Parts: sequence; structure tokens; C-alpha cells
Amino acid sequence: MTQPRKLTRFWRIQTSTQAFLFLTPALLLLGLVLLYPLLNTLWLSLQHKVLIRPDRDAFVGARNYIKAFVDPRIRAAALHTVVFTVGSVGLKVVFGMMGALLLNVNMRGAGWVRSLYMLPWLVPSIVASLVWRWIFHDQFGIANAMLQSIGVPAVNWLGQDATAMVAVILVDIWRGLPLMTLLLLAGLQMIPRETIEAAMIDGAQAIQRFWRVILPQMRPTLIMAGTLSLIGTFNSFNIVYVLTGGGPAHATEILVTRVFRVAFQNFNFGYAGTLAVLIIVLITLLTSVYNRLLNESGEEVQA
Amino acid sequence: MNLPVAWKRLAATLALTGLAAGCASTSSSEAPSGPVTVNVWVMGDGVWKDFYSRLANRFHTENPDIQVQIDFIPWDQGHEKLITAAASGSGPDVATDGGRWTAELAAMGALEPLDRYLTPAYRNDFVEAAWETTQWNGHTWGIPQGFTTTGLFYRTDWLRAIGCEHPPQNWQEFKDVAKKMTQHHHFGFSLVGDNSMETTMCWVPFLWQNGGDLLTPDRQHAAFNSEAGVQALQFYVDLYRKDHAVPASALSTKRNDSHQMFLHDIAGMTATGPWFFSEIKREQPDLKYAVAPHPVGKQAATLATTDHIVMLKTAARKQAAWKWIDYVTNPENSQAWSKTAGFIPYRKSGLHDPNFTRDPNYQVLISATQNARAYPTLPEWPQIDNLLSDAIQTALAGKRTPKEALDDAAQEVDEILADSN
Amino acid sequence: MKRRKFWFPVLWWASALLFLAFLVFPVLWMLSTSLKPSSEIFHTPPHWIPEHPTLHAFTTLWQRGNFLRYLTNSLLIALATTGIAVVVSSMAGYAFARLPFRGRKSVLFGILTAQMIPGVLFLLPIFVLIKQLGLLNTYAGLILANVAFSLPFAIWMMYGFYKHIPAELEEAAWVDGAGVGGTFFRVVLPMGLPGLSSCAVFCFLNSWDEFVFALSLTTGDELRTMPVGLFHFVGQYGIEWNYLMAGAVLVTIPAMLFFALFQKRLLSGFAAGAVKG
Repeated sequence: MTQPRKLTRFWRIQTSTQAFLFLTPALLLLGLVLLYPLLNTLWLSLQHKVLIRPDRDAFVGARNYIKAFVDPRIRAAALHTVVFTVGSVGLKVVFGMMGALLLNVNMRGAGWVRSLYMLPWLVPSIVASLVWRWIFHDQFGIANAMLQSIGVPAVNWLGQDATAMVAVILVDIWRGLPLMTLLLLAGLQMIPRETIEAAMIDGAQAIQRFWRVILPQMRPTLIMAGTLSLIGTFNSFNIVYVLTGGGPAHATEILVTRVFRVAFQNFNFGYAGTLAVLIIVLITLLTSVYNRLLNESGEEVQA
Repeated sequence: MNLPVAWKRLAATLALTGLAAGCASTSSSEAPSGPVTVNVWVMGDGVWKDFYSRLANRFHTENPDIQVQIDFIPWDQGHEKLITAAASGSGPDVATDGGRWTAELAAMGALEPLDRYLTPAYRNDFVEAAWETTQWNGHTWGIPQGFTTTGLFYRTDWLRAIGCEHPPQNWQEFKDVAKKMTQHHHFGFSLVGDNSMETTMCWVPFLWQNGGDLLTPDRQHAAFNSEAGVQALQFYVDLYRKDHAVPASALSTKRNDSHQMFLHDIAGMTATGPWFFSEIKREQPDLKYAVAPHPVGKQAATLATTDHIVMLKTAARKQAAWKWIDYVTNPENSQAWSKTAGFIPYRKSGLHDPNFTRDPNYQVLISATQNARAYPTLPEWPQIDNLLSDAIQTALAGKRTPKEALDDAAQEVDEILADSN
Repeated sequence: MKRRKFWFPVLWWASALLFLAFLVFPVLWMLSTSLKPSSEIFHTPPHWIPEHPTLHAFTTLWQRGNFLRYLTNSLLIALATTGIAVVVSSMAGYAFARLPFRGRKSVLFGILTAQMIPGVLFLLPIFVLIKQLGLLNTYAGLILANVAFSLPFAIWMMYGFYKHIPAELEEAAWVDGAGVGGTFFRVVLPMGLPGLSSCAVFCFLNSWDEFVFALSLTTGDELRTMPVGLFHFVGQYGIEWNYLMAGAVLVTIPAMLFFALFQKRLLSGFAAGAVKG
């Protein structure tokens, strides 16, 4: 029996040489551009460092962290982040699921629908936000023109708290729906056809079929896509930055735009570093939830 | 790129943990043979780009030994780019900056004082209001590279339609005219209330007109939350919230939006500067409009803003850098620049240039210099500016009363000022 | 299968059109505005179909700005990022899927977390890093940052993908005497193609979308990318919406072409990579 011995040798060679060789470029790059800045940020977060006052640089330990917990602006930004993220992700999951069911059907012309459906994903988010700013333009925008043509008075979209938040969420959904739908569609296609057909033979109607068969099967996918999107949305900097700049009067200021403001408007890099670290801690927590969900769905990351 | 050098740099970088080390690294380079290069940042696109590209070419023809390498940076990004570059030692040799940032950069230790390059005759030729903004802590940190006041642009045909003979001259008339102009889809005044420094720029004249001030004379405390300041903000807020004489979108209106409202029949009045002339000529050449001085409150006042050209401390070739600054700011080029960009002359020798004085609208803005004031030159100004625009927005949004909003901002400003000593 | 009822296609198309109305109308409005002359932009109420359609905005954009340059920059950076990231991530993904080594689980978790961190948070340290490397204002600097921020998700995707390819095929190739390299190139890589193409689409769109690094790691407009160029278009003075929208149209087209090229295999790649884990 030469085969098993040969195979053992195969895997040994693989392990010894390739693991290192294959991983090196990735780890080098990640170490350089992600790990190093991360450590740097950690260090920065313990400093008093305001770029415009270099004479005051000092090590302050946890002082920035204490400040972050009592900073009313951070509390407000955290609240906006929750509203924005929950609103956007919730709607993306609901509509993404509907879209995935729709695109899962084979029909003449469905290919075209699928392609057009992905269009928003292809528009860079900065550009998308500029386009939407033009759509929401108070006087010359098409959004108000459409509303007025059906008798609804014009809305001051970006100039007041509630509608500005709605606008930001709407644009985030627009940009993120294609990817969400794609993830859910991928999950949908993994449901064995027999399961669905069995239910059909049992005489289950379309709606029952969805609730009783498809949804339970989709649960892991939904949770995972939801978590992925949660974190992505949480960090949705570009859209907020261009569409409202966090305004009006900070009404759409989310955590990441706040960090940017602290860093590049006040040049308080020590404090911005602290906020960044706190956000990363939060992200790590969310990620570990995601990882556990992955494991529960049977695709464990095995040691 | 040379690989070994890159690896050495990489190793050095990995060894670093603090940013401070990054700021300290200076690479000493051998004196290169051939022409010296001066790296310049010019803020602004469009006209800025055309004008300064051409100027750099002409300069090089006259000074073959100096090559001027210009990067154009949009104003929006200018502050951020300059500060980060200055802090990390990656800045240019010479840069344009908004005058309101100069003291901040100087306090950072990023700028080269220019006193030793100046002759009395040179400095005395600058308009006083412009020159003052370059002074901080007993030194000259920049040379004016653009100077302007603002005025009230108004639609003459709209004014006639509501039966007014003359543009509003005081606050009461201003309010009446704004209210009367407001009908259908027309509004009296396009107020800038976006979250940016433009919002502060547009409100501060009202503060001064009402007898208020930004800071106490010793510059240790905020003064804008005085009775006069609160009234001035109340007047502003009422135009928007009570009289609705301002488009509803005020809180998302930037200055360029306010220009468009004026150009396209949405607003009958807007407060802005002479750079608007060329835009009107290009977009709506038939627009019936004129410029008046800002309406007078208890007194007449307008904001004068000055752009500076500064030399960074890290400039390798200071003489060559100065040569370029001198060239840019010489009487001929200053004047040409004012004409191109839409500024008012800032060198005394150019004040009587018929190109400016012939135009009555331009004349209004030039005369306004008599009542013009500048922002205080102090390092903390950009932060104060942000806090003020926040306060104005909060009051406009109705989240806080003008008094509450200004008091909150004043408290933070006081902390900042106390902290800086 | 049961036959679909006659109303099914009607219902399907009605909902499909509803979805598309929302997803496509901004692009149509963008296109419509880009074809309008300046005088028509500020018409109230605005009309959908330009009354005097013109390519004026496109030609002006072409002549005036450095938009061709921005477009080339974006394309160059996105293609280089995609190329490097796909190679590096497929190697790493393969290693994670096949080769058991100590600490693999923690490294994978670290990568998963890294995938979630937005670049904005690291802007200053990365700025300093790129400066130290002497890569400010270079393509290399931007590509480096983009690759690093595309890698985590790409590795994760490729890892999931390779995990689902049965190892027997590789073993068989090895037994047939293919050698390490031969096994990877002749068996592993071809089987990984769907994964590679979805990975490529992801990396390309990621880099195409990238904004904050392009904004902060370059100064002049030589290296400006399309998103930054268009962002700056909303300048201090007037906003010329028709020019801006023309730029938006121009930036969307290359992404559409790239997407069309790889679209076919996209779904299976995502299925294996992101969803199954």
C-alpha cells in the first residue's frame, strides 16, 4: 500500500512549506497596514495629542477613555448610530429577502432584472451620495417634484433632523440592497430543491411555504448576512459624510463621522484614537457573535 | 523605487511606536545641482488653477534657476491637509491658507516668520485691514493673497415689484423687504446655515452690526453670548423660523447653494462677496441685480476675509521660496489676481484702479472696507469658528434658544481659551 | 413541479418593476441630468426627459478637468489592487482551508475582525506609515492601502471556497505525480475559478468605491481618483450638477463592464465564501 504513505508525505510537504509560503504575503500586508496602525492607535489613545498644540503632548493613561464615556456628543452619536444601523439593516434584510425570492425565480427576462438590480452596487458610494444629494435638492430635486406631482407638499429632506436621518438610511439601503440580496440569494440556492418540492406536494401554499419551509432554512444565512451588514452599515462613513456631513446640527452624526471630526476638525488625535479603539472593541464583540453563528451553522472554524 | 531604501524605511517604521518620532524625522539631502524646486500648495480649483499655473510658468521664465511645483488643493480640504502635513513634516515649502488658520499654524511652529524679508515700504503698501490679519505674537506669518468684504446682493426687479425704492438700509427694512419678497416659491433671503465655517462667516456681520463682539478685548473669554449677540441670533432665527423669509432648507444650505438660489429665482437677496460677479455673468448674464452695503443695525459692519500665502518652517530653500511669495504678492500680480478671482484690491497702489472703481457694485464692496473687521487672529480661532457654527445651527433648528445655544458655545470657548494659557 | 398559475408572471413582473423603480431611478435621474444643458438644470419643476438633450456636459468635462486622468487613476489602482489581492488571498485562503497549523483559529478570527474595521479609523497612522515608506502621492501607496483593506474579506471568501472543494482531487493529482506546484496550478486553481471571480468583483468594487485613502494619501490632482475628483467638484462656488452627473455616469460605466465580465460566476462564489462561512 504505497498510496497512504504517499499521501501522508503529500500533506506533510504541504504543511511545512506551503503553509508558511502561502500565508506570508497576506500576513505581511495585514501586519503592515492593519496591525501596525492598530497598535499605533492603541498607543495614541493613551496620549494627549492635539496636532495644533504639539507642546502639550503627554501620556495621560486612561483619561481619554474616561472622557469618552461622559462625552454627550459621543452619546448622541452612539444613539444616531443605533437608529441608523438598525433602521438600515432591518429594512435591508426584509427587502433583501423579498428581492432574493424574486430573483430566485426563473423567468424570461429575469437575467435583465438581476443585472439591473445590482446597479447601485456599481456606483461608488461617494458618487451615489452626490447623486442623491441632487435628488433630495430642496428646490430643483426630483424627489420633491415627484411628491408634488402626486399632491404631497415638498419635504425639506436634508434640512431637518428626522428627514435627514430618513434620507441617510434610504441612501444606505439603496447602495447596500444589491449585496444583501446577493448574499441571501446565495443562501436561498443552497436550500435543497427537494425540501421545497416536498412541501409543495404536501399542498402548502406559497405563503405557508415561505414561513414554514424557506424561512427556517434561511435562518443561518439571514443572521449572518444581517450581522455582516450590521457591521458594514455601522461603519458607513462615505454616505453620511457626503450627504449630510453629520448635519443638520449633528442630527445624523454617527460614531465614525464623529471620530473623523474629532481627528480632522479638532485635530485631537489622542481622543480620536480612543474613540477608534472603543469602536474596534465593539466591532470585535459583534464579530465574535458572527463567528459563533458561523460555528453553530456547522461550519466551524476548526483548530 | 529603490528597494533597499524602502526596506530600511519599512524597518524604521515598524520600530516606531509613536507619531512624534514620525514628525521628527528629517532627511538631510545633498544640495542638488540644477534648478531648485519650490513645492507650493495653492488652495482652490478653477480660476486658481488657471491663474497660478500660468504665473508659475512666467516665474520660471524670469527665474530659470527656480522651478515652482504646484499642487492644487480644494479649499474644503485645505485646513485638514495643511495641519496633518505640518504635523508629519510632509508639507510643501509655500502654501496658500485661509487667513483664519494662520495663527493656528504659527502656534504649531509650522510657519516661518517673514519679518526679515520685508521692507517697510513693502508692508506699508498693503491695505491695513488685510495686513493686520497676518500679525500674531509680534511677527508676520503670511502675506495677503486675496482680500474681500461682503455685501448684500439683491434683485432690483423683485425690489421694484414689491414697491421699494431703495435696497434695505437697516435691519427693520431688511426684514420687511425679505418678508415682502417671500411669496409662492420666492424667498427674501438665502441664509447659509450648513454645518461649516461659512455659516459663521454669514452671521458674524449681524453680530457686529448689533454692537456685539466675538471675544472680550483681552481675548480670554467669549463675548458673542452678550445681550447684543443673543439679539442678533434671534433676528437671524426669526427670519427663518417665524417669518419663513428664508428657504426651508437653510440648515443644508452652503454658500454655493445660496448663490444658486439667487441665480435661479428662489431668493431675492444673498450676502456674499465679489467672486460672485463672474458666476452671475457666466450663468445668468441678464439677471437684474445690484449690490448694497449690509443693512445697518446699531452700526455698520462687514466681515473682511484675507487669504494668506505662507512659508513653512520646513522649507528647504527659503530664499527661493520667498522669491515666489514676493512674485505672487507684487503689486502687478496682486492686482491681476484680485481681478481674476473676484477680490477687492489689497494693495494701496491698486485701490484706484479704474477697473474696480468704475463698477458701482464693486465700489460698494471697496467702500465697505471702512466698516470691515476681521476675525481675531489667534490659534484657537478655527475651533471657536466650529463651535459658533454649531451654535447657530442649533438655534436655527430650534433645538435651543439663541441664548442657550450661544451660552453653551461660550462655555466651551472659555474652556479652550483658558486651556491654551 | 406544479404548474404556475397564470397570474404568477404578472405578479412577479409587478414586484420586479417596483424593486427596479427604486434601484434604478437615481441612475436614470443621473443620466437625465447629465444630458441637460446648464440652462435646464434649474427648471422647476424638473423634467425627466431633457428637452434639449446635449453631450455638452460630457465634452466640457473631458476638456476642462483632468477627468480622463482621474478615470485612468481609478482604473489602474482598482485593477492592480484586484490582481494583487486575488493572488494573495487565494494563497492565504488555500492555506487556511487545507493546512492545519497552530493558531489558525485565532488568526482567522483576527482576519474576520479586521474585515469589519473601516479605514477611516486608521487614517492618521496609515498616513504616517505611507509617508515613512516614502509612498505618499504614489500609486503604490494607494494600492497598498486598498489591498490591505480588501484582503480580509477576500481571504475569508477564498477560505470558504477552498474548504468546499473536495481534497480527494488534489490527492489524486499528487498520486499521479503532479508535484506541489502542479497540484495547485492544475487542480486547485481551476476549481477555484468561481471563487476567484467573485473575489475579483469584490476587490475591484471595493477599490473603485474607496474614498478616504485616496483623499488623504495624495495631495495634488495627478493621482486623484474619480470619487475624489467628483467630490471636489462640489467646490466652493457653484455646483454644476450636469457636469457632476456626467462624471457620475462616467465612473459607473467601467464598474458595469467589469461586473458584466464576472457576473456569471458571482453567485456561486458568494454562496461558498461568505454565506456558508
